Amino acid sequence: MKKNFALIYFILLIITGCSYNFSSDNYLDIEKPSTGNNSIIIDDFNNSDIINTERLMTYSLSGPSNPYQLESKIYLNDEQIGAAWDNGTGSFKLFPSRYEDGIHKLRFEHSFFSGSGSLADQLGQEVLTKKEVFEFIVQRKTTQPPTITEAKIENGSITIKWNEINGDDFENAYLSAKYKTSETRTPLTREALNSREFIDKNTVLFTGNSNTPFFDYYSKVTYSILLTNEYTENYGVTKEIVYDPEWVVPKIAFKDFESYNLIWPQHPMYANFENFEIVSGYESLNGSSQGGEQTINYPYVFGGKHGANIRPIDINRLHSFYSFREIELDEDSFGFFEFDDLHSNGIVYNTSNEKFYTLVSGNYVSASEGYELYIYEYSKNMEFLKKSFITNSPRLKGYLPIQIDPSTQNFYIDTANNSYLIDKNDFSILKQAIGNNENGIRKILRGNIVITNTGWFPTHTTIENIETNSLLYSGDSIGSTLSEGGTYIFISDENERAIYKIDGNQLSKILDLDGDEYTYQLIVHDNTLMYSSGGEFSVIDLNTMNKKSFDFGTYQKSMQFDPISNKLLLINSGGAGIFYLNSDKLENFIYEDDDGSGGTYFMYLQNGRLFHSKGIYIDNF
Amino acid sequence: MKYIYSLIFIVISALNIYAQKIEVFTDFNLGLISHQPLKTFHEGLAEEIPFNNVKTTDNYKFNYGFSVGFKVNRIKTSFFYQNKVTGAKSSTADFSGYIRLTDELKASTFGAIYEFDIQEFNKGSLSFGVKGLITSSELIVKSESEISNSIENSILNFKSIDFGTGAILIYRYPIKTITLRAILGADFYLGGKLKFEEIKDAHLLDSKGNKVTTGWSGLNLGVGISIP
Repeated sequence: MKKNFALIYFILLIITGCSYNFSSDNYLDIEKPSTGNNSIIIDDFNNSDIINTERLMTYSLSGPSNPYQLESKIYLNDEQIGAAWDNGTGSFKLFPSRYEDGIHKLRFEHSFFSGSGSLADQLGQEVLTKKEVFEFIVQRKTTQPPTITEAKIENGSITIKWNEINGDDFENAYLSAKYKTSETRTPLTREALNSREFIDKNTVLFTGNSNTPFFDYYSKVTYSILLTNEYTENYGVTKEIVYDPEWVVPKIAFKDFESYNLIWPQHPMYANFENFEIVSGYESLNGSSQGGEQTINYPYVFGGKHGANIRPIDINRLHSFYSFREIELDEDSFGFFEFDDLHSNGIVYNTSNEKFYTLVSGNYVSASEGYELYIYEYSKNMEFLKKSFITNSPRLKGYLPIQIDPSTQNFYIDTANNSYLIDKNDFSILKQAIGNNENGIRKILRGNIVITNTGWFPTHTTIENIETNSLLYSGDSIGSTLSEGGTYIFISDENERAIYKIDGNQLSKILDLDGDEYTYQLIVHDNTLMYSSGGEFSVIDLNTMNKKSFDFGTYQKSMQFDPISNKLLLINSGGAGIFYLNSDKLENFIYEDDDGSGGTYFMYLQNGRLFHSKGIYIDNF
Repeated sequence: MKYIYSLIFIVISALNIYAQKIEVFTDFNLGLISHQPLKTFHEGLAEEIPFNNVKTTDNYKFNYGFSVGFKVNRIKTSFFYQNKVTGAKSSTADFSGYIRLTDELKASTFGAIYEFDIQEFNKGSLSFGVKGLITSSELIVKSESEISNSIENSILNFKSIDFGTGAILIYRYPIKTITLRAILGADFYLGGKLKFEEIKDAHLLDSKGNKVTTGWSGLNLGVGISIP
């Protein structure tokens, strides 16, 4: 048995064999490193400090550490910011102007090798990260500036009002007036701020012409309360005032044709400056900011455009510029009505009912029929009353196609070939003399007399009394002009040129004219006979047959007599004249005759009212 | 393992054949002053560890093991199997991990001792023997590290067959049914190449290019028992 035990023992020994029993590891008792004794030191900074300006921050790691730093990360409000680490000192920049006001978090994650000497450290695998959070406060904004509640023009200045201020986080307060490129800041004391009202006695809004440099620099002013501190400028809610070009519109009041009265209005901000400089015609004047009127010694062109350059002067601003304005017509001295746009041709005054009438070309009908012809009726104040259809007409006579019969106040309408006498009340055709364009027959009707011109070179002319059906005169190559009432006639033939009085079927010569005289218009009023002839016109007293002649231009378009004012209106190319029959005085003036589209303007003198076919008139002329 | 089973078979057979004429013994052995080449080799390796505080705590100071065998009294010859181990260790460790370099040399030796009785005492006897040895050695060079959860291991295995001889003094002291043994001896080996297991024809060289041998030569001490 013993041997069997021994046998088993041996076998076990052999099978298990032996292993060398090594000594235990050479364990070094190194303390496990931690960042417990480390801290981040930011130079010149304590937690929750206020930082309002850009600042370079430097920091270091205190406590045990290895000089070999791995990385230093800094997070501002959880967003990594740039940081540098060099030679034991880190640095980063804060830009408070970019941050909102309030508390901001700075989180440091500074990693460094432990330096513990442990195996991991020797391998460079023992990295410690010191995490530390700091807070700093940005407080740059001021108190919210009060809202401007009102900016209005008052007593020639601008009154600005604002809400009460809440808070006092600011250093300076201003009332800011911003223009397009500039700003005026008026310091406000605490008292002034609390008064919540300021009167701006400085701002003058004005706009120049758009082709002028800086023209709109002072077209608008925007007011706000501005609160500032050393970091920020905080503007409140604004109110603005915008220049209205209608504020400063110069006007012309009619004076005479040698000069005009320029009227300028009060500028809404009149109390903030004293004078305008106004240039019109060749004159420059200083006019009160409160408005005024001054005579400009520069010819007034009736119906023409007049301009003025205006600017406020002696105001405290960098840029000064004129505003050129077309001068409008003053309503007190000018009247207005629609004329040219209606294709009106001539205007007459009916003394019996004190109404004005214009002859108007209406709708196109056909080539042979031409246009519809209407008579428009106006009140004495040129208020449109009604229109009445007369007839269709291919072409009206060039000048004064509507005339009034001096004795009956009925109307004569002359077209190129025809003449009509129209009833002043119902506008019916009372009489007519109808020519024929194709046969070259042109007829003129005045009173009972009809002149018929037939053909060309030579023209055959007959003069008939259609009442008595008698031929008064006939012949070739003769000229003839009837007076308005058909009571006088001018006849020229190869032998003589003379004016005759028509008496029934008889012609009685009353005046021989010179060989170079010819008249297209013959006007008789009471005992005065007037006729125009080339470059002159003549006035004859029929009682004494005393004749006075006056030069007027070279070619006359028309001569109109106004029995009310007892004046003659003479028109030639580009010029006009008024002849005062009472004083034999001739006054020349200029009117605007170019309508800008190839046509011409015309003038009419009726009932002491001088009309320009633009639709303007002057009374008491 | 195969050879171990073969050995067991032989031993059992022998025990049965010579049951009455043999003495079975086992010893605990301690070897001294040996393995100089490996010492140098290990020191060289340890120096190359790139860390501070690496300390060599074991360096082939001794080897130990056991022997089992039997003595055939008729021919005064003992046959034995001896298993011995020794090693070297260099290491450093701290909270963050460890680095360990260990060499472990394991040897299985088959040998025979021819004994001459020198002297009989009142109690016990002393004999002198001459040995013949064949030793199969396995050198396991293991490096291990675990630092900051990063683990690295490598193991290199070398083998060599060494032949040796030796002289031995055996003192036997019988107590009742067993006999205590005390042994003092010296071994002399011709060191063979430590062949690298994984690469054919490669073997271990020192820094000077000389082959490194196991160096089992040295003094032997042992105590044991035998059962007559």
